Amino acid sequence: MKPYGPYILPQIGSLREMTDLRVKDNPDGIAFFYTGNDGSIVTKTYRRFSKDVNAVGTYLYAHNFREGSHIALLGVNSYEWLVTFFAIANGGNVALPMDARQPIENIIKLCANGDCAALAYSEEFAAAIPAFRSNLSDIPAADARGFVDLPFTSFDEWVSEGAKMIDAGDTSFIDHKINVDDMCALVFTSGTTGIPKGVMLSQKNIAANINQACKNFVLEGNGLSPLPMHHMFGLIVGHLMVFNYNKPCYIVRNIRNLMKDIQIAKPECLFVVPMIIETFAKQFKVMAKRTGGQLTPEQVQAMTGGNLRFIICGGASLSAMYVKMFRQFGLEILNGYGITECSPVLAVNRNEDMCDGSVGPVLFGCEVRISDEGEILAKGDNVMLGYYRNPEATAEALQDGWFHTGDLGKIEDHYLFITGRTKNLIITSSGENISPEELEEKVLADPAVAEAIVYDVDDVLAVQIYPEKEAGAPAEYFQALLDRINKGEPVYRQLKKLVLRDEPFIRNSTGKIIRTQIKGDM
Amino acid sequence: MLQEIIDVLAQYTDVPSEQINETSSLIDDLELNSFDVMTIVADFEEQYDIHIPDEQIMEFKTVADIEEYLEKNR
Repeated sequence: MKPYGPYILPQIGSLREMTDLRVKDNPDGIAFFYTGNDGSIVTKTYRRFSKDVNAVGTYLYAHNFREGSHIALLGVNSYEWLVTFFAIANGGNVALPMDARQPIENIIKLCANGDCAALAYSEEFAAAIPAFRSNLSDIPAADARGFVDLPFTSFDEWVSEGAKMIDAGDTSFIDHKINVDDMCALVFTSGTTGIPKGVMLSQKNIAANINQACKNFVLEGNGLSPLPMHHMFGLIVGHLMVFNYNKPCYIVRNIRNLMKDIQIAKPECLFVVPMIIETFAKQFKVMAKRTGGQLTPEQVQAMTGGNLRFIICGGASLSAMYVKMFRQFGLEILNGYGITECSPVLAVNRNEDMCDGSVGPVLFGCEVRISDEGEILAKGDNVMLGYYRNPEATAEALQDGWFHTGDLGKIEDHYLFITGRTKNLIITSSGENISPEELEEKVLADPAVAEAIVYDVDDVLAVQIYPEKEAGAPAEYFQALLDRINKGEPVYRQLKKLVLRDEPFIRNSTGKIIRTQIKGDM
Repeated sequence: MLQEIIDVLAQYTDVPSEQINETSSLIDDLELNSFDVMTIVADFEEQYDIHIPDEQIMEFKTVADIEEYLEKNR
């Protein structure tokens, strides 16, 4: 398709500016809505959201959280989480969104590495608090001031106390002049290789990415993302971008209710990872079986709220099969590409400009180039400040203003294609570079293969295959498959060893196969 | 009860119901992901009018685990 110009929205310089714009233009419009504990629909207007942020921010100031205090956020998706994130970020403090599904020992370690002074949490994680208290000496910043826990069950109290302080003339939080270049969020990456690094993001980074992404894609109805808010794709794209479009954003408080939530929210667009699309595809099949035939676009629309047109998918690569399948039902899956360090989006397919197999055109206002080695490099206001207390890793990742993504790619006809990870690159003794992902794609194209990983053993390429059980192909079938693939490859790229797996590969929380685990298997 | 569970899973997974039994593993044999399991459990909650806590869902590894829980709590 042909490229076309950017969608035009007012540019924002900070999160506060974004909120102020919405309050000015549409104070009584719905910013967020969700299903409350009693099953009723709760709505929050832009004006309410802004007031709540100011009240909670003032409450935190009164409790001496100011001038760069680090506060961890541990919780399921909620309105309270979002307000607290803004209250921390707009007050010159730093929010540390945490993946609550990891073991408590890891969370304590990350709080220690991230110099956390306090922990805001939803009630599901209250049981973890005693472990924090008993390990306080491991978290020096929290230990120094005495541990402060901020349970979201007290959220209404924070709001009412903060509002009273504002009414009594305390405008210290509201008057705080935000330095958009200061760190406002510290996000530990859950990479599939290496140890987690703390990505430092500023308000300028986040605002820039919201501006850039809103130029590539336009939302005309409600938005919904079931992705966790601690994940920057879930937070910045799935929630804040929708807010910036001036469209109602539905908060999915528990992913297990997603199908019901979609009926309530009636979104025009979903923001998801491949795992969720796979489940949708299964749901469609169930519906087809129950209705005794071929599923129609109308039935799919009825299952998905009636307004769904787009599904923006990121986080990991998605099989092209799903794009074609969903298109039959009138749903366009727009694959995108991002990385936490770029706040997070770099490219996404557009409403009227898409190419299957690609992650779309690069965002307006963001520079992307491919290095001589094939690595994707990015430059722009959305690129992080650096890694927290890790100058070596920062210097390695940021060179001459270009962020080295570690991903391999190519740009063809203005579309970005991801071809692999530099960290996964196999370099043979003869100096040949092989991207395992390119070979895996060829193996995965066979319907008898469910999952495949290519790696090297003593300078020989091997492939582990987890077969598609339904296909029930015998071992010889897979050897014949490799022989066919190898015919078209130079000798150094030929797959010489085959291992058939009995179990699927282990994946991380965003659905990516953990390659280091496979190396361990060997 | 077991047959009802198997029938729902068979619809969901494409695995014929006669090939599903109590020992079938949800992830390895039926190839469900964690989100699939949550979605299916939401179906059961509605059908049996019960609430299954999130931490309990994480404990469901086999068909028998679901059956045992539903039998005890329905």
